[in-house]
Amino acid sequence: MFNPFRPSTISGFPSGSVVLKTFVRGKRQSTQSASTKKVVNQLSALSASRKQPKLLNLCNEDLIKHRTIVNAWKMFKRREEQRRHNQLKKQYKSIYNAMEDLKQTSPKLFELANAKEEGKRFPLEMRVPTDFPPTQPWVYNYSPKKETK
Amino acid sequence: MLSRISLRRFSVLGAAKAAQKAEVDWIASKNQWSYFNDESYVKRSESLKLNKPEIRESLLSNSSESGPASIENYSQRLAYHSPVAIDETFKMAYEMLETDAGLIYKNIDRFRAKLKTATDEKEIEFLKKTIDKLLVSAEISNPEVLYNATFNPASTLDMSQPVYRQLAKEKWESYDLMITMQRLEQLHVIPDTLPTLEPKVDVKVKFPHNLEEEFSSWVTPGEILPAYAVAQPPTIQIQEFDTVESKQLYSVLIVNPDTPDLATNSFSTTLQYGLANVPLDNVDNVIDTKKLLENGDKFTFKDYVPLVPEKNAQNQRACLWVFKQNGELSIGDVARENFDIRAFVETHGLNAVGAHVWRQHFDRSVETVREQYGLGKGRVFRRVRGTKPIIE
Repeated sequence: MFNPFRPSTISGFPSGSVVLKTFVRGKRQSTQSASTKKVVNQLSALSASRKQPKLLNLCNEDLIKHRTIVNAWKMFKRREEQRRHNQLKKQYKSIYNAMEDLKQTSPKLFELANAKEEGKRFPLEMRVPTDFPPTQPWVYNYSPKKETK
Repeated sequence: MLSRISLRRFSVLGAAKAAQKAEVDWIASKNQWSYFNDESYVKRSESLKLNKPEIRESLLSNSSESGPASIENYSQRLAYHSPVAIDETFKMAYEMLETDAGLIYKNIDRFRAKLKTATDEKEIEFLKKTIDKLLVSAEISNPEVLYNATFNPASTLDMSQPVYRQLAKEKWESYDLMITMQRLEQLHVIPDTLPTLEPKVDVKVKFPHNLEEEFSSWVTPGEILPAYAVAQPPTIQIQEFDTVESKQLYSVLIVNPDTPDLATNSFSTTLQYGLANVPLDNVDNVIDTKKLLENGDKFTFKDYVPLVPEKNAQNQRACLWVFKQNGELSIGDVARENFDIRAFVETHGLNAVGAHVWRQHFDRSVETVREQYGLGKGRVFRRVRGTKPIIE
């Protein structure tokens, strides 16, 4: 079966090895089917501009309707973004306040919390940090991956 | 009889109650775009309505069986198909935007109340500017306003509305302004007449005495026009985009910086037309024949004389400058020849806000126009062999 995504190999040869072109007697046979060939021929006769997707011709009312819909969508997205921005701002402020509080109550702990960890790298097994918690927050029966030999 | 009176009283009471209820309803629903003039809480102008009722119908209610009203051809209208679910989506979008506009109108109301009590001049100016900005943002996504601004000619828009002015300004900046500035710079109107220009108003010029369509419509900046086409004073439209409360005074100059000056083997500037103290505002923005016939003597400090380039002289530029005045000007006698526009602007404290240019050269109609204005027969320039050889 022909699969365009599979690298081309000929049975008997390992993939990656050089395949010499061999002489074939008679008419060359194309790998494309007849119907595919027909479509390719037809498309080759058309100019590139003809092959572009058709321009949407909206009447005046529909154009205005479309613009109104786009405006409303933009407003919706803008509000969403604003809400997110405000939320992050609040979060940052609360982190800041907590740290200030810590600084006042226990300077030692504050220093420890802010200590630079030289040479410490990001744990590869850790989940990528995201904005929201995962659907399954904690895996209780977690076991580290076994090394395969 | 008694029952009739009491019934009437009841109905009057009912009307008052209904009005009160309507106001409460308005605050609750905030659908401001559906109301005009008296019905409206904030007195929206009737010009914010789509001016063609059948198109308004087909825009705001669902698409009818007979197709969109903006397509005039019957068969085309039948053949047209709207995108899938556009009506439902539009309805949702409209409600959302209208609610938002209602909130903005509420804000406007608050600012208007503040404006009534404000006494400080700076504060008043700030409040007025804020109200204008809010009025634009309340209406700029109204589909009816968008339709009017997009598909109707700019001359039919009500320029007293800030939103139409904003939309017209955007349109002007996207094309006409760029053309004007390009021509002013390419033809060296800047800096041959004035050093530079910060354009604030849309200046349009036409010569309505022409019968040919070619010359009677608005002149594209930089166009070459024949002498007969400019034989009468032009109609000048000065469209201001900021709010003009009471009338603003403007002055207009047309100068020709290409008059041959044989004595210095160079060119001099001639004043072709001078207007001053012309009161205009956002809506009344044209200096046309009617206005000139009525008040022409008051405005005109130098009568219009068209450019009449003599034979074999090069292209001559008619540079039109529009200035905003700070107050009323009293301009005495100004010499037409050797006019110094920079000194004139300096002495009168004028502020250039717009400009326009067209060009002329010698043609068959020049002699007739010269005769019409009593300028005598024109000279004919020809090349003169110099006394010295060019190569030393």
